Amino acid sequence: MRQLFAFILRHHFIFLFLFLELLSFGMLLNNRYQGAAVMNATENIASVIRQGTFGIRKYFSLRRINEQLVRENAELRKRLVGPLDRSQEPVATANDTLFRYLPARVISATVGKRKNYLLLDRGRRDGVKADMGVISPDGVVGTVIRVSERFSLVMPLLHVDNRTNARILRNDHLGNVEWKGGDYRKGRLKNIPVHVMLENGDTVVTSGHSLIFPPGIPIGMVEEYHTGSGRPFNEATLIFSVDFNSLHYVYVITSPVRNEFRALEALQKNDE
Amino acid sequence: MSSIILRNTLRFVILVLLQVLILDHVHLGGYVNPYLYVYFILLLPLEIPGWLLLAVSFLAGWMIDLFSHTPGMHAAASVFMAFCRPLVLRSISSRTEYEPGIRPTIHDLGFRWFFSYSLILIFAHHLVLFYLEVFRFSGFFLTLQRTLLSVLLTLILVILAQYLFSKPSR
Repeated sequence: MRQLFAFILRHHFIFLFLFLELLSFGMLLNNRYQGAAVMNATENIASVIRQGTFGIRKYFSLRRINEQLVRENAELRKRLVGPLDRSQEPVATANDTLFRYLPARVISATVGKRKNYLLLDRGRRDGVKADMGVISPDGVVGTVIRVSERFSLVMPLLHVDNRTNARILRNDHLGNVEWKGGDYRKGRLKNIPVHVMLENGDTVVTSGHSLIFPPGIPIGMVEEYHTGSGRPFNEATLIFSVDFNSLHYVYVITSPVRNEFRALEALQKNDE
Repeated sequence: MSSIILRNTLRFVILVLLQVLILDHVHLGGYVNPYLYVYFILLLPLEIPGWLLLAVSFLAGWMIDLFSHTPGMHAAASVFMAFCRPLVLRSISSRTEYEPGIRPTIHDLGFRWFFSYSLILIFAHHLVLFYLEVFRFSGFFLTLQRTLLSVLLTLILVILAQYLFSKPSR
């Protein structure tokens, strides 16, 4: 026994090294199995610190945020039917009853990894739940995957496991938007049937086939269409509408009829 | 003695904050990032005991992990880098012996020594980091390219930091 201790003591450098590496790998694998960063107490401390410094960082981008808001205002004004006149209420569309928008601030975001995440300053107490969509004035950002009391974690389009249903605006064909890592400005549109022709600059929007995103929210623009690979489906390179490296304000999309929709979906699953 | 501890603690705090608040938002060409916090591990005193070297490196990596939602990744890379440090110190020669009181800086041990010292260690760190992040070997060369470019960027910042902030010891 004493010899064992003496042995460990003599080679304590290697043993400590192995121990710390095992510890790190434990954390890494644990996290990998759960599929997303765990929001435990320590992470919340980091979130609070980040929120504290957010004000400083925000100050430097006030100008751009302002421009973004002005642009969004203009866009919304355009959508109003007729002048701003109370006697002439805008016509209610399906979207008005199906979706509500909850503004949120992005506290932290990564774009350089293969599995990126965003942290928002809205959580359970604001009514955020997992599987809610997140958009910015420019387009689709991602989906909420985890919620704590005051914060929520978003899986953005920039995550290798993320799949988003998409529709090509010009011809209404459907596809899937994915991201393989690498450049955070470019994604891929997959599963386009070969007979569909795309042009560079075609807009890709959300399909609206779930209550996560309203239909017609921009995702990106076709940069290059890859054809003739011999497979039944073609692929296109997209430029994302959203600049993920400069996100500040986003909207979490909630739907008042979400539970109803979910229940119906579950019913259908039971039938299968 | 206490001034050495104070100086290293201060360096630790400043570099971690610099990393999570500013450098984590730098992505040249979309995917090349600098990890300047390893500068802290490079500049730890030469006389530091092995266990302390591993422990503080783990702590540094873990702090970065906390902020970037990557449990274990930076910790593993930093501990590996710390593990390599004594080996690297032994294997690269310098004109002067590592006398007590000498620090691993350009001023004390020369540019060539410091360059190879930090190049090897930064490479060790980034290699582990980027491959752990991808977690597989497909796309091997893409990851390698990413690693090398990031090593270059970190190395430039480290050497810049040496010229800007490191003063010759007495």
